[in-house]
Amino acid sequence: MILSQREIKRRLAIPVENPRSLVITPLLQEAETFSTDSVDLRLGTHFLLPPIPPPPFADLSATQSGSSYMKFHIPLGKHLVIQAHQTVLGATLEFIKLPFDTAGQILTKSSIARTFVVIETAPWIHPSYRGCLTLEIANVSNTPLLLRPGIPIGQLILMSVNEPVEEPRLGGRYLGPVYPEAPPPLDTDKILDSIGVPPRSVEDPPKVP
Amino acid sequence: MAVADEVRHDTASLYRFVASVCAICDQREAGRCYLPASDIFLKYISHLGKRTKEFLEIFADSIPTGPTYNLHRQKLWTLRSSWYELHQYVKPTTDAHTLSLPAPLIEGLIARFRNLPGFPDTRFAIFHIEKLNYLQVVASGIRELAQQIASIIPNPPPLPPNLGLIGIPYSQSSSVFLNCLIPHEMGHFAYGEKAVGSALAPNISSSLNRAFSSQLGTLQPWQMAWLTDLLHSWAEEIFCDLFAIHLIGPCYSYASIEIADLTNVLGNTSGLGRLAASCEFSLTHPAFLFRIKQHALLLKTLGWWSEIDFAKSHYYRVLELSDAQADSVFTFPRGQSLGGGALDAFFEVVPMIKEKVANTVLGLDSGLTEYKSLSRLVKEYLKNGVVPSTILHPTDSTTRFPNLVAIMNSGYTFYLESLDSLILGIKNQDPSSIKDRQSWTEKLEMWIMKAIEDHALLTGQKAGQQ
Repeated sequence: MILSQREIKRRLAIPVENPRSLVITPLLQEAETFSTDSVDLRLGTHFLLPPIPPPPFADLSATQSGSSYMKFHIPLGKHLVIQAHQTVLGATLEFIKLPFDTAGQILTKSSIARTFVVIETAPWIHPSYRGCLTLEIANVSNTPLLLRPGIPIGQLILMSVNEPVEEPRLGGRYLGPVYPEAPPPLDTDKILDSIGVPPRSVEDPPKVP
Repeated sequence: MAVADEVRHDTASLYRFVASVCAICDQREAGRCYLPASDIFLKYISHLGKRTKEFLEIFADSIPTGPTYNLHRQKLWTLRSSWYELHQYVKPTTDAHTLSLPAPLIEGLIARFRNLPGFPDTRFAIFHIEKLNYLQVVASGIRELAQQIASIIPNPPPLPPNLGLIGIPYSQSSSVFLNCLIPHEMGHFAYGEKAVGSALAPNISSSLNRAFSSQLGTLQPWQMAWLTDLLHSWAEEIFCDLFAIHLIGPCYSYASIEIADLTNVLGNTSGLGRLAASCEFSLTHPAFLFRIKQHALLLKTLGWWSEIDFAKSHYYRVLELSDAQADSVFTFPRGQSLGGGALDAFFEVVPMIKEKVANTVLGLDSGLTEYKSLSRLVKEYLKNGVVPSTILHPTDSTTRFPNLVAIMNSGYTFYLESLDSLILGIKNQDPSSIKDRQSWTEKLEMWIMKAIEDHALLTGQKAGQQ
């Protein structure tokens, strides 16, 4: 069930130590931030840009790391131009803490989506998550786009989880970030080995006949 | 080579040097942003360089060959030496972009500094330094350099007013805790601008006269001048320490203890001689423990002492230990036969220093009331892994936005006494692991920084106001 504005506000008024509490901070222009079933989230000021020129390929494995991303800070009042078909990692201005019995989803605001910008491709937020949400921003239009940190860019939808389990300790790969985070390296060999696939070197691509 | 050709060569050489400095100012790395004051400083240097180059373009043709030749030729030397001086600040300033310094903390400190009487428009440009130290470039020194250049070139740009320059260690770009030392450097700026040294001069002079009354006939003038300089140096450091505590609270003391590694005076370390070493005054600074003792005394006066209740932290024990030291334990070995008298004279000046600090920060809210009201709650947010920028107050269920002093002191205290409670709440993390502690300290600092940044937004301070 999707949480209503009233329920969201009720959760915001629960003390932080209570696992049912919700935190969204900073909540600016509160009156305009809430819809009947969602909360607007704004674009933050830090970005990670993929390396330029791009590498020959992106490898998810442990041999590559997020350090190849270029960090940018665009203060409020300045802007970032995203070229046509360019992607960038950003983050929400708001830091959120979800209750243990609530999951969330972030969607591109329709006014942004209609400029052919997608802000999120992994929109699901697990219960008890805390942090600024990393946004996978993609300009899928044919026109460069000017993005100004601080603008409302996404909508947070909250949903109650049936039979939630309160974990005694927090977990998750991404806990408490305030800036966009590059993906941690995946041990793809190990993952594939676990289903019986032998490791294969990326330096040895299949030969084209 | 004819004299005219020599001058032309030397002028072109200087032109090339100035052009290379300007290029650094103008061609900053793409996508880098700066604190407004750093931006202003770099633009000023660039503008000054442009005017200098314009002057140099016609200089060689205008230099006379007669008796005034040397006088004119001297201008090149003056320009070159001034630009050599300015050169040292340019690259370190371009290195200190907003990704490589704790920008929200610095902006918060500047906002607080501007609440002091007489400093409503003060700005601080930041540059990186290689030493693990913090320093403030004497504002009058930069003004002198600018004036030297301005006295030679036509239409020089005016030096931006109320501009301070502070150097921070390049490695501490994302640290919040150690950068609590920055207010000390702001204190140096205030000390210079308010001419505190001149105001203290009569006190220093009379204290020295009293301390050395039996030797006045035998002391050489240079010895008295040396003692006077010494006491001025010590006085300025104590002024800046106390100023910093007024500005940011006890977290300045914690950072001082950390950077000087003063916890090594605790416990069974007498064999190392650390306690005695920490009681020694140097040629430039009072003894570390004397400084911390002054911190403790001021924290008591301001009402912070009763709030520093983190008995679990050994930093508190350093404050207690310092506070317990009698003046007689402090030494000044480098002063040799004059050391004892110098210390006696200095101890007499300390109350006057405190008075000058109090006058400088007149009307500044210490932040203690807000700290008392919100500290426990801020720590609860941090323990739960949440940025403490919007705090729900349990008494009336209203939201509060803790200010810089409340966030910094609560955050630092949490780091000292309760980091374990945060780590214990996270899967697969172990408080006894140094790596895990480092990792969560870093995250804690990020949350604190974010809370400071949010505070400016939540209380309506617009970005880029500096």
